[in-house]
Amino acid sequence: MSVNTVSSLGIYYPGNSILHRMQARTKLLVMVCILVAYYIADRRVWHFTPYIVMGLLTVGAVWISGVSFRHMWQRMWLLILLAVIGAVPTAFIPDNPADHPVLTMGPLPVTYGLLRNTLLIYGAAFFVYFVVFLLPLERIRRMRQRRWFRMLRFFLVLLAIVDLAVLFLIRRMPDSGIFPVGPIIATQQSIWYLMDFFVIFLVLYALALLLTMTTTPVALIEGLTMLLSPLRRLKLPVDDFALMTLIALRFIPTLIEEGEQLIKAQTARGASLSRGSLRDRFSSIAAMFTPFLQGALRRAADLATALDARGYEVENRRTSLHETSLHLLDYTVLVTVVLLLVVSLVV
Amino acid sequence: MALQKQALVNVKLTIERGSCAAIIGVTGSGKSTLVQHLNGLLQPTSGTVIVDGVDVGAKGADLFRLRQRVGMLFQFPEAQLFERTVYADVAFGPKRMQLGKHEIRARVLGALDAVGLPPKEFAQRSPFELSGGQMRRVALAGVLAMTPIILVLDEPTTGLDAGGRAEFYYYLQRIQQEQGVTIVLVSHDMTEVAALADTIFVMHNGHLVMQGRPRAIFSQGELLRKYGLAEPPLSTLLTQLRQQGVAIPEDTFTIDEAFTVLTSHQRRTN
Repeated sequence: MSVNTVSSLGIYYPGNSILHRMQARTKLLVMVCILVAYYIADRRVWHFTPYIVMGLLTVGAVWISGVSFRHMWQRMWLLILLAVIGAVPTAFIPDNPADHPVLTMGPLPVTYGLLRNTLLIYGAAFFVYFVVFLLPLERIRRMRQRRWFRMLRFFLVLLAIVDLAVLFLIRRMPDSGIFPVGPIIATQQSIWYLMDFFVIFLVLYALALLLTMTTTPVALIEGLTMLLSPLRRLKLPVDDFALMTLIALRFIPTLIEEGEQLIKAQTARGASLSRGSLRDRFSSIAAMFTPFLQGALRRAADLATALDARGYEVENRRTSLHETSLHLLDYTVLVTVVLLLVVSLVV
Repeated sequence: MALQKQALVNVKLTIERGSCAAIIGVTGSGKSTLVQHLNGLLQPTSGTVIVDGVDVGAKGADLFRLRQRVGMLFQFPEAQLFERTVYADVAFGPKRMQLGKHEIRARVLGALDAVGLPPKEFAQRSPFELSGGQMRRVALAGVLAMTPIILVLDEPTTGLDAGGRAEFYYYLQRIQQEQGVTIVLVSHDMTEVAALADTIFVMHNGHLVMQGRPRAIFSQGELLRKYGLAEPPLSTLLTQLRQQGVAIPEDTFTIDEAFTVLTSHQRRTN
């Protein structure tokens, strides 16, 4: 992933859509509603309506916000990929053995002889492949510098290590012995959980992205503080929390910019994460990370001084710059969303 | 997306080997973007950049080697220091070039000497206990130790006091004369630009709007002000004198020249 795709993650995009005009509180409340609806919907297996409604709400929100679907995809593909990788195995772990199985695979009876042969063939293939790429040919050398190739090589090396380890472990086993694979069982419930986890994960992530993309950090934190203000009665430090969150959000772009600048500066001095020995690479990481950390600490100290200099006090209650009440738009959106969710849960 | 814009439009320029080129312009005019193309930190979306015979944008260009020949110093370069001692920090670049121990040592000591920080006194100190100006010169030494043939400096003296600036430019000039390095300087400081540069390029809104020798550029004060810049104080003074009827030749540029012209003028009026 290049630096640019990271830097635009969740940063405010100026605009004038309905989503931009809504109060931050409303957007937060909508998210809370969806979360509550999810916990209720979760109980009823094979009841899809709430999930379809949540999905449609999310797609609708993206559409209204004016953020193009391509940009959303750019910010989400990595997470979707990770979610898929993480989710698929969960479908095969039945947490209730009495549950109705949908799919049963195996157990597959594999003989040790077959296993050993397969491993040997892979090992040989890997060896040939590796030797070929060590040949000093210009074409091959150019191919070796490609990124996907380096990634592929990494996985192949991992596989080769596993291959050798397994070969070593089964070295004493008789060829005719049976190595059982499976059985792999997917039950109705586990598949339901997979679906339900997947949908809510994506919906919440997309909504959170939209929230930060259509709300300025200041408005977001003020909205959050207002929602949390009842907690002041319990002597919880709501305002301090607000200030800390605000500063953290505010500094993300600054720190990213500083980091980019440092990466450039050290790259110009020959630092490189993809070149040289392991030791070189570690020293390159240090060259980028150490000054970054120092800069962040220095900045924090400066900020603390600035806050003191302006007479900031922890004890006092502050008023808000953008104090605004909810408008017709906010009430409409809230009522619509709640109605839709309730109906979808009941139907 | 609305937040992205084309940073450089139709820029065509040539910088001569061994010269000192200055790039000036207001903030956001594309200066920094332009110079970051010179060692491949950025690559042109269209068009070509050729540095020391290497096409930077070409596929398979060896940017790692190019970066050793094109040294680059960013704004606030003291922020990039990170090692425990000045010596180790300056040695970072040469080490990454896979040089031998003795070669590295010679280069580090040479570079520290060149920027006026005697190694005996400074090499084993922590870079963080130095003054701002000294830290910048350590950063400069870190780039010099890689013996670049082109040195790109992006506003290297921002935030330094007058003494620090003067020192920095003194050593820079010495390095240029002794090592014959080509210097590309991005700056806001017109007086220094006027003193150092052989050629000046003026950037405005991503366009290259003026180029020429400092004399020619700074005699066009009107045009410069249109681009949000100002000529050096001396040029302003001469313009005002001309408006009051003092005959001063258009190509008067240095303090010495101005002095000669004004004394002869004084003699004539007396």
